[in-house]
Amino acid sequence: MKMLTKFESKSSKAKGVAFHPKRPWILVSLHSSTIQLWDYRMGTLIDRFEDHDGPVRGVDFHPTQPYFVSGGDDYSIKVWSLQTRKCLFTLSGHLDYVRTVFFHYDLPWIVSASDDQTIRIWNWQNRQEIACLTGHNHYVMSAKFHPSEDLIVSASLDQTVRVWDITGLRKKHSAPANMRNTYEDQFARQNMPQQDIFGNTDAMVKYVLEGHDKGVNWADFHPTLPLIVSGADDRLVKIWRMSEHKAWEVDTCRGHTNNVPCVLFHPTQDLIISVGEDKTIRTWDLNKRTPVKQFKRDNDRFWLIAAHPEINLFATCHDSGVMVFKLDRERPAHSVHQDSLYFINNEKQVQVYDYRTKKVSLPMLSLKKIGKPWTNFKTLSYNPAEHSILITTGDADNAYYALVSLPKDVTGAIEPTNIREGTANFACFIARNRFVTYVKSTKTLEVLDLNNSVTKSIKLDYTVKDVVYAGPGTVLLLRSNSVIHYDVQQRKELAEIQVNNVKYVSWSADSRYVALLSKHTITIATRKLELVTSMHETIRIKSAEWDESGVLIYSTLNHIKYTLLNGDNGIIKTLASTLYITKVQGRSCFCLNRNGEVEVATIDPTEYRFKKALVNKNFTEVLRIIKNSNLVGQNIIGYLQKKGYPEIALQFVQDPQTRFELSLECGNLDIALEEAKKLNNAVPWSKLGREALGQCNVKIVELVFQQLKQLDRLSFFYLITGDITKLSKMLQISEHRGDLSAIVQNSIYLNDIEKRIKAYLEGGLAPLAYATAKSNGLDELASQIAESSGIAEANIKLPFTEKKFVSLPQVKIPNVNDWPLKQAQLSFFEQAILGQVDALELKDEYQEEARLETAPVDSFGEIDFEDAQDLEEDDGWDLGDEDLDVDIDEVEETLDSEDVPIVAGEVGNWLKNGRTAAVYAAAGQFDRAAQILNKQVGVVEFEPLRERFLDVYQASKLYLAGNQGLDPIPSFIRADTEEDSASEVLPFIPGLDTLEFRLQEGFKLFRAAKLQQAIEEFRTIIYTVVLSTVKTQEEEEKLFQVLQTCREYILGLSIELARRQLPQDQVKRSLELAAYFTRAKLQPAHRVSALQVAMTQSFKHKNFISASYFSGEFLKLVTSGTRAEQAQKIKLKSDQIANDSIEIDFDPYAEFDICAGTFTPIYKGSRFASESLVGAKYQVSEEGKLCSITKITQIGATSSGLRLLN
Amino acid sequence: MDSFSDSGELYQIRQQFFTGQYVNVIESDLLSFSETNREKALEYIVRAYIGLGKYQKARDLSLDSESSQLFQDFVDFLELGADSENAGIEAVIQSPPHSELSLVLGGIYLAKLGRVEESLALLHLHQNSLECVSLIVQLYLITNRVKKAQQELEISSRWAQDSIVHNLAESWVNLTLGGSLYQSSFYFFEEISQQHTSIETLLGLLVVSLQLHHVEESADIVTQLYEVAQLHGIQLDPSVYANEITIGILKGDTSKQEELREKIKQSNPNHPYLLDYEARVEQFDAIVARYHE
Repeated sequence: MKMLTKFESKSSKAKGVAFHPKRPWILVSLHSSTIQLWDYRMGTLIDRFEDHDGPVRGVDFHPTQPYFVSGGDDYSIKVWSLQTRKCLFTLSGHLDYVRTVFFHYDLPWIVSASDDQTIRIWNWQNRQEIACLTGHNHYVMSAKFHPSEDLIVSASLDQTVRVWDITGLRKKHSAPANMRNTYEDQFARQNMPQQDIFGNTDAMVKYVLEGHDKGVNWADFHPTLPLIVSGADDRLVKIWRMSEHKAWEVDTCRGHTNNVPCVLFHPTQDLIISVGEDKTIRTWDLNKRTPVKQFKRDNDRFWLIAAHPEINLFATCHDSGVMVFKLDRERPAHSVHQDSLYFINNEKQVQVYDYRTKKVSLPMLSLKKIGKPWTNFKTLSYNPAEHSILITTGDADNAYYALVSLPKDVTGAIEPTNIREGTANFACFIARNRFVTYVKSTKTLEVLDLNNSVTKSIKLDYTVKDVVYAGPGTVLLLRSNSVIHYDVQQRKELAEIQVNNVKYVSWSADSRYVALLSKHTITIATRKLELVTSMHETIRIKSAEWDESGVLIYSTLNHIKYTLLNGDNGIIKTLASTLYITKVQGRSCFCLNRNGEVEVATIDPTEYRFKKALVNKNFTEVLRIIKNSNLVGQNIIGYLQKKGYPEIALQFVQDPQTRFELSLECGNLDIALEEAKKLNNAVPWSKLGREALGQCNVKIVELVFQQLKQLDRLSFFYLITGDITKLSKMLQISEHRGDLSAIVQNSIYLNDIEKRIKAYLEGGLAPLAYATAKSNGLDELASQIAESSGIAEANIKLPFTEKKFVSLPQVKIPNVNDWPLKQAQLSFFEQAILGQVDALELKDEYQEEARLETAPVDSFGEIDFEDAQDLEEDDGWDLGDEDLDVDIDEVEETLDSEDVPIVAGEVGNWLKNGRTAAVYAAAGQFDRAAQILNKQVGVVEFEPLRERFLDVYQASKLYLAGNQGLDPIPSFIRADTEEDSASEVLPFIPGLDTLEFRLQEGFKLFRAAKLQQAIEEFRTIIYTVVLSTVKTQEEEEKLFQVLQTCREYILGLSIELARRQLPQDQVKRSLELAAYFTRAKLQPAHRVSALQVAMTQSFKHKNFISASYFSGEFLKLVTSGTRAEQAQKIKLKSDQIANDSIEIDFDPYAEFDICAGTFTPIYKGSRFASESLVGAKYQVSEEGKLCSITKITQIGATSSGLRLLN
Repeated sequence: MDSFSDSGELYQIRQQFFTGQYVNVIESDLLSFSETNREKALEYIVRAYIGLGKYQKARDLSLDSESSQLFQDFVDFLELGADSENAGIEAVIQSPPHSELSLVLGGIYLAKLGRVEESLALLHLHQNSLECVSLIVQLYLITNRVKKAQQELEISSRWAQDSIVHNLAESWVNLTLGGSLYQSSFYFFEEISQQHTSIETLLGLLVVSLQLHHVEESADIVTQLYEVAQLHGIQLDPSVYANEITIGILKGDTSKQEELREKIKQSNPNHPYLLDYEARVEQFDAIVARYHE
């Protein structure tokens, strides 16, 4: 057992402490009269409450409501609001120090214990004292409600523990509703005396527990069992049991060397925890009443201990503050190997979880006897080669490792045998046959073999806090300020990185990166320990794993988060309770919780995948995600903007303002314009104008100036763009508006002197007008002006004379569009979104396939196969009513080994064990294989089987390089990878796993009416089956069925193919073939096609009786839809006419087979020849020919039947 | 101290040599070895060059070697092709006492000429040479004598259990014995191919993955093999192509067979795969003809 301190505050003399039931808060009441509220997770002081006068000894949170209660040496009890952080009211009544205060779990009650020798119960809703329990004849040191029953337990310095029954009190205060109305009852109840003369109406003493020799300081109930624990100044902890009628002392725990001020039961485990003035915290085994462990402080006397109601956390008050801690780690030791998670549950049993099936195994091994009780296992290392585990437990000087083999079959938790143990703080496998241990005290790394004997010992010259596995033969040494990659084999430091206090590490799947986790920091480094990124996390980091795409997913106390290699991170999910991630696969995050169970948290990887794709500039992926998911939220938009991808962000935004800003940022003027119109406000317009100017988008600039009525700018804009016509218009406008300065401006731009002079005159600037006229050589006009102003022209002196005519240079800019200040280019995404990029091919593939599936089948005459798929969803190729006479003879093929040469080694074994043609082919005995096939099913034409023969042969052959210069070592693939016995080994025969797929391919081709290709496909299946080997009769049976399916499809398709190749005039034959096609035993969905051909053909050629029959058959299979309607019509019409114009050789009601060679009916009872591989039937005339279905077998050849079973 | 032990000077270079990391071997700095070990290191370097097919380089370097003549003869032999006997090497074979190098090269020489039994006899002259054991094991395996190979290993395991050379040979035997040993071979190759990534180790991993029917993973390993070859600018072992053909069949994709066969032919026209394949095709032709009448 280990004490893990989570939080410690330094303040003088803490007297009381309480946990908030939900939030990470504790209340600490101090001797100085202050009550503090701490966040123990963040380590921050949230608030202080001061209203008491003198020391505060008791505090308690309300279990559900935002209140807390406190009691102190000022005799008062105060109830506080957590919301307003104020004292709501004070309950007075006690006549001396209040020692403890507690809320009732359910009723609006508070119980308090006081030095005035009483226990009082208060109703905090109406703020009244409802009971005063007297009986103790010294200070009452504690009083607590029972967690579920109407009981109170109290401890007093009178050396007794008392249990009080408060059933009466509950009855009185929760009276039946119907009584409430009568005044008498109310009156009666109010006047009911609180206690009778014996003091026991509402609350009676039930038991008085005597046994302590000195004052008792604390007593508490067990959460579920009828047990009480007490601590006293006699330095003892006593356990009491109670029944319905009596209570008695069970046992005493001795060990404390000074007063025991507080003791409690562990909320979930069979432990007692006590604190003492001897400066120790001690834990005791509840069942054995023996000490488990003690934790000693040098200076601080402990006063109180409190347990968190739900989490494994405790808080103690001592002389210099409070301390929050937990007992032992809660991280289940585990190890991941491929698809399996090996872990130790809370019962100390090893279990395996299969990531694929998402199932957890039964416990397979019990580790209870290893290590010490009450101490969890720290690490687990799995060795797949030996199927064994290496576990470590304990800490400091009491640390052990144990190497245990796992049972081969899981049959429940068995006791381990052959345990190899030793002392070490750390141990893990570093190779298939080696593991390494580390002993802290001696700073020694040792390499051991599986017999637990040391093969190497390395003394390190520095201290290492922990060691973790780091790939074959190497470990990471975790030091307090660095991590060292150490090669144990060569005793060499490979790399080092400066990181503080790393506790856990996680390697990426390809071992390229390692995440180093310390309490609040994640550092990602490469394999060579070069820093990639480092990030800080305010909440404690618990675990981390890499997902398959190389994103680090990590968990903190209350979140699952991710981080990319560049340090970008975010929250994926909020957790109710802490989880330890073991593997991340797609949307599933496989975790272990603190109860030692596997929990699968579903996460949405879209966000981080998106960000990752963006960071890696994998734009096709980005695009795919944009198109296929609904990523939204300020978060993503902000991220995109920050990363410089406003154009992508644009795809997610609706809000015009944001869209406007984003579009400006990516220079997309069209969208900006659109949004500016919506906003229609000066600010966006002017922003748009600026951007448009930059990009030289003349039209928009013009529009903006118009919108903003910035006419002067507009004029200048027209000037620089050389748009004189518009400029003239501007002049007109300004004249119209009578805006003199605008007229002057425009007239300057237009060099229209007369207009300008006119404007000057209108503006009363005659001198200027005069000067203008004069300087532009308009002397006449000048004189007029002078005259009208009443000034003699001679008196006017102009400052210059030399240059007579000043005229503005003609501004004419050829093409402003060529001068953009900014390049606005469509980014990849915009193009993609506009559909201009080939990269969109990623979608095309799908379409292609879809086309294949649903393409309208022109070639198949008038048949429309579109919905044929619906019918064949699930039944595969289960052709129910087969009555083909494939006799499976149990005749053993006697293999005369005359021509089987003796071969040594693997191939020799195969030959010895083989019974099928396939095995012989795989062993290279082609002659023998051919002979077998010839005898079994009459194969005479081998050429089509060439590929299959060679494939079967090659599929089991491998070559291993070996030593330089020599020939490679031949290796083989066996059918069963776990077969050990040489007399059972067989070669691996390929192809069976693809049969299902190929059948589907065949069906697909059938639907697409690619007749010849479909036939080829089915034939390939036949060739594959011919050279195959199976292990069970069922499998063999299934393969025979496959052969029959292939036969029927090839037959049907061949008939249809023949029909299509007929010359136009052979109507009779064509109709016959169409009719025979319907007789092929196809799947219903496919038979529909045959029926439809027959139906429409018959109808077209006025064979109404047949048409009626086929449509009838058709309607049995297709009951609704347009095709059914059509069939209905055909049937109706055909029935009306009811005659056949062409007589064909087809009797729908007779039983017959079709000759696969001549496509003529073989009626029941007539003679026929058959073929043995697929069981095709032929007219007798065909005997001796090559089977047209298989193309390899001879019709009518004597045969013993195919054998596939080996 | 044994210079091959894991803290010894030659540890690393030997590890690299036997795991086929020739590229790393030739980068070793001869001067960093002490006088006593320099000759052995040089041998490894020369042989690494031979392994990479850089015969001229091997020749040049071997001039500094005590076994210079043997190396020259050996390279001559390799360059001339497999059928030509080499008087120089024959002489060395005939004249004891033998150095480890002369046993090894002589053994390879004889095996290449198809004189397997002579080769075995020569190699058996060794005294605690793991490399000789490894060659013996391989020759036994090629000639289908697993039992003998096992015996050989059992003897050497008494004194060399932890050596990589021994472990490799052991894994070859395990691969051949199969069954539950596949799994341990798999872990061995997985471990070693991570530690010493080379064509040879990855090829081992590839073979055992396929034996365990891990087809998808095998395809990934092939990709990795191509990457490694490209990274170092070296030739792939033709056995990789042969195994690739097998993968293709297992995956149902036989479209690349011809191309791969062509690659094998270019790389080593005498590769057992080719000989075997041609024999099968011939055999099949005969069958077709026989039943055709």
